[in-house]
Amino acid sequence: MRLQSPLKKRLKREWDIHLMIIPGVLLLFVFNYLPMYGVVTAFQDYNLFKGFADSPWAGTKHFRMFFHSPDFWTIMRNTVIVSLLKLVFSFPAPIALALLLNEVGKAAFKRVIQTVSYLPHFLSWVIVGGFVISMLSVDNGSINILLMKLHLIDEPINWLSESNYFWGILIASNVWKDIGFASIVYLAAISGIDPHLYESASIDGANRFRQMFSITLPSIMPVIVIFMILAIGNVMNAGFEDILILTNNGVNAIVRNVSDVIDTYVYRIGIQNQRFSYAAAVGLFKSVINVLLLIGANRIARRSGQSLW
Amino acid sequence: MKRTRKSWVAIMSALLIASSVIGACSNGNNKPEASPAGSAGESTPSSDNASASPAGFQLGSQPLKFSMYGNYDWLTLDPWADDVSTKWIQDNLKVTIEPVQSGGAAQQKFSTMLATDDLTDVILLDRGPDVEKLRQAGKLVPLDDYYNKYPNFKKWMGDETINMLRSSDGHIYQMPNWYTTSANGNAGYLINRKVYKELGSPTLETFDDLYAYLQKVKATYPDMVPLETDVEAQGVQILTSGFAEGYSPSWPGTNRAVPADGKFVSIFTDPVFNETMKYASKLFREKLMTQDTLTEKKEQVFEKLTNGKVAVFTAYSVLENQINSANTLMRKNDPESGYEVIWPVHKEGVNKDKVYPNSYNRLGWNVNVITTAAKDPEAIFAFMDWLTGPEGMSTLYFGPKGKYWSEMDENEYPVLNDAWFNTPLEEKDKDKLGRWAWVGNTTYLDTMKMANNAKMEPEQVQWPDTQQSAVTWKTSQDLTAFINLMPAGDSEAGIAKTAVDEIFKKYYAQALFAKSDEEVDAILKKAEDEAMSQGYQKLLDYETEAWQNNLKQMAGQ
Amino acid sequence: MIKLSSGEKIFQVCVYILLILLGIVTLYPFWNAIVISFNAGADTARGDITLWPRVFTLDNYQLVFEDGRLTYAFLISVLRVLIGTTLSVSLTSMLAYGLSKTKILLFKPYMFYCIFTMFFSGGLIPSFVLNKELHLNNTFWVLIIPSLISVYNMIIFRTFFRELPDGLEESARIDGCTNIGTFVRIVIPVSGPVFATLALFTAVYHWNDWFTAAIYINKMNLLPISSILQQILNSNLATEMLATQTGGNASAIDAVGKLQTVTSKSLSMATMLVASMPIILIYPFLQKYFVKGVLVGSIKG
Repeated sequence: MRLQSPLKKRLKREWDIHLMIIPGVLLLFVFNYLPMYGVVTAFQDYNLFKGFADSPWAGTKHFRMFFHSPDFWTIMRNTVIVSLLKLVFSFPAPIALALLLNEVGKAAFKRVIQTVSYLPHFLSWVIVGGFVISMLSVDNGSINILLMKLHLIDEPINWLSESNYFWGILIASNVWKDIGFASIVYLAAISGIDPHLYESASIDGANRFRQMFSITLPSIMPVIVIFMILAIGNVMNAGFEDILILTNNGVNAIVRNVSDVIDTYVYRIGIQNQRFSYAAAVGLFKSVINVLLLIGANRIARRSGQSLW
Repeated sequence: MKRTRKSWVAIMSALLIASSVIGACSNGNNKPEASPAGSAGESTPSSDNASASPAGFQLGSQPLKFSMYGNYDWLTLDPWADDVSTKWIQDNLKVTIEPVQSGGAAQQKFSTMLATDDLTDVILLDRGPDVEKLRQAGKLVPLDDYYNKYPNFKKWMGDETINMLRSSDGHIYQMPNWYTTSANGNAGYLINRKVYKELGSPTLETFDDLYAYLQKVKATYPDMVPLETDVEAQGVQILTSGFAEGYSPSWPGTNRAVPADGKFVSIFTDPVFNETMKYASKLFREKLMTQDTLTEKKEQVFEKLTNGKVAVFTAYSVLENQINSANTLMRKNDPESGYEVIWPVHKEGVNKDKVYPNSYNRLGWNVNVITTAAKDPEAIFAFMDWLTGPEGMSTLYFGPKGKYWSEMDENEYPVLNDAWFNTPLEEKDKDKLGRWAWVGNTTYLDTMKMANNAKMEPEQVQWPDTQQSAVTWKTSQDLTAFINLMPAGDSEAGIAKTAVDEIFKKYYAQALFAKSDEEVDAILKKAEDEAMSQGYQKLLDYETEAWQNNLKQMAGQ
Repeated sequence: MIKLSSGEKIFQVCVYILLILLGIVTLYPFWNAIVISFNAGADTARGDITLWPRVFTLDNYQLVFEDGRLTYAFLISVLRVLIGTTLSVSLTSMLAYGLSKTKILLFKPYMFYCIFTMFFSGGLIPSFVLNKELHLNNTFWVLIIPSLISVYNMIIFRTFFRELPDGLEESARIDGCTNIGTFVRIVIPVSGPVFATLALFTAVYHWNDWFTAAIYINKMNLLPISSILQQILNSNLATEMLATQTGGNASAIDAVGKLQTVTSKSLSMATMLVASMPIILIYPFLQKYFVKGVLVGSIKG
């Protein structure tokens, strides 16, 4: 056999790997990269009729307008805080649920809880929001009625008008809505764990509770870490539909100083006024920050062995 | 494993075949081809469809097909020929409309249509910046000649109104919808009759009366909401109408400015708004106004009203369908209960006949435009013109000729026959009347409604109608001069407007939560300062100029 | 059966209690929605509907199913889910498997190339123009082709593939299997859980997505069920809304007629349930793929 160059040898081994990758690459090229020239709107004063080619150039005008807007720091602060809260509460909740479900012996019970817990995912935010707002209202809300019956409060609390409660309400609704659906991935990961690991552990004297932390959790750590990285790369997208609905389509201005995040702001100011370029500029800003966060998170994660690339 | 793969392949192929069949099927039908309806031929005046004019497109002489798009998220244009009226139109006048839906994403849909120059033949949209954009891009067909050629629009709108529709280049591009020459509106003050009676039917004319009444309500009925001000505290805007003659709730609600001496001035320094906010804040902090007003959803308001848990309700529309149902239900159980609209509350010393919670404008709600994509714009206009006339309106609202009516009386109103009065509701529902109505002739419909009601026994007249003729239509002012005052979103004035809107909403809410009159003053001052620093004056100047232009246009210049 | 210590028993009990509470809290609103959909709308407006309908009616569902467009829409949605999910999962998993081999040539460029698209996009109009050029607009395929590759899903697949024991693929290679062969014959069968999960995610996306059709499709017959249901809901809303526009003109219809049983709230519940039931029912069937120990047999065997 003739000596093949290392490159040729490599290609001989890998050629069908590349074959598997090429279709995806092509599709992404056509449907994601070809339209990407639209990003240029952020630097133009885009006019629908003139199109991308003929709209006047605006440089960094929209970016500067955004940075100089009076609410810029409030919005940024809210965005970061809401994302952090979601990371602290909404992120671990599905993992905890998956771990608990794993401890259930009776298959039927497990199935029922699994199915039921993911139902809220299918209720639209419009319906969920309507529900939450109704429950927390002063005139007729079930929460107030319940608390008063239990003599915990004398007068109904105007939950939705208090800045202090808003974040709590937002996070609680989020957790409730997605905990079941998000846990599915972790359940899938758990089902890949070798049962013998558990057997040997209990022979060594570890109880189920210990096993959860010493076996189950570490085994699904790779999945958790990857999702964590992706979540960090999503911090600037702190939320939109949930906040919009809970502030009654942006009407509830009383809590706006805590509820307004980048996306709700852009929706009101940019999109509803057909200020495409402004919305595009803010979107681009968000993406850049997100990418930087992602790279940072990945670098940290790499030390523990997981990495996106 | 080989087995699973094979069955996989089999299923996939079956699906692919199925889908291509469907694809082929749908390619065959639904080709949005506006068939070449020839333009105005020389036609004989004998056709009984084209009313008076001898020349012009004869409806029914050739098939007419065109596409229509409604630029609203919530709007779904019903399928054509799905109800008796449009079916008749399709069979007899050979007109078919193909609706293009917004699907819930109107803005984006509209943008894509514009960006690819893929417009429908007709577009239904709000007056203002969007129409102007289309016109500037040369996408609209001027309708001047057609207005002169065909009778109905001209007759029922009047020249002054037509002038109001002219664009800055002097041409008319729009066909109005729900245009009217008479007052209408549904805003006002609704009271709970039972509560009112039980509290001794006290005078409820001035704001002081109202305050005393609300206190009484709160003391006597702890579970009742004294004053319900609807979502977004909109009812508070209605209150402004009572603090000065001719003051419209739309000044704070829409314009964010007040007209005075020919100019628009800041609302934050306006004394009437100031006084209203102080009053409202007082009601709010003493729990005489619902605490949910800024956070609730519409369905919660309806719930309270349906359960009779509201003593006084004020809003831009107190005659909604749900309220009507609630009222009917309540009165069925107890004739003394239910709701009633009272004459608007006002400040002591203000002339009660000049208090206008309602307003109307002669141009109505929105407009239809014909785009350059249309193959036969004149035919489309001719059809719309017929539709807006008595025959068209009657067909749409009372069914085609021959079903519920056969002839018209001297006022051109259809004479409803026994079938109309005797057919049970379930049957009538199947006819799906009143679905397609985009060149609504409110002048005709309103006057006809009132004429018909006058002929009926009092108990037969619908409750909302009685309230309208008794109060709401009488307390409505003509604000036609104030249309189109909003600048385009991406213009300088538009950017200022957005900022002012934000500021308004923020401080409006804060003012309600204020703990004292002085605090209200401080809040409004803050609002004024902030607004001015964000370009408020630009908005004010824009509105002033637009208003003055309207006045000139109405005068025919 | 291994005996449980008392500590473990308490733990078990706590787990059960927590899960039951969660079950109640997540089930109740959904149950409530079902109840409202079977309750007369005007009665619902009085509030306090909780566990059982007070004034039972089928009118809301009748309104939905009466609509002739529904059959076509249902067919379109089912086709979209089946074809879209199968194609998307196949292509995305292939891409993911390829990218799980971190040592290949061009690995890092490939990854950056993919991840970049998660953050930067050109927006709606360039995509619209592109699809128009490709003659995809107003066809069935615009619902499927542009969204075939999901980088997010790809990353999930890849993470799972990387966790597979090396021994698994080694034995296949020794037997002379190509990479593609290994993927199809070894990797896919043991990856039941992740395939089931992502098939579910993709199916849910396809079933619920109304936006794509709203923008790209005008033909009535090609609209998926999510769009049609939205339209039915909007139609009803419009009737209610128009009845009060400019002085209550549009009501040649008696307000106290049909609106007694069908209001926008009750109708929205009915449409929401019709929309979500099919997908909800899929999950229990997929649960059998989440069986533990799938891997064990394959190594030994």
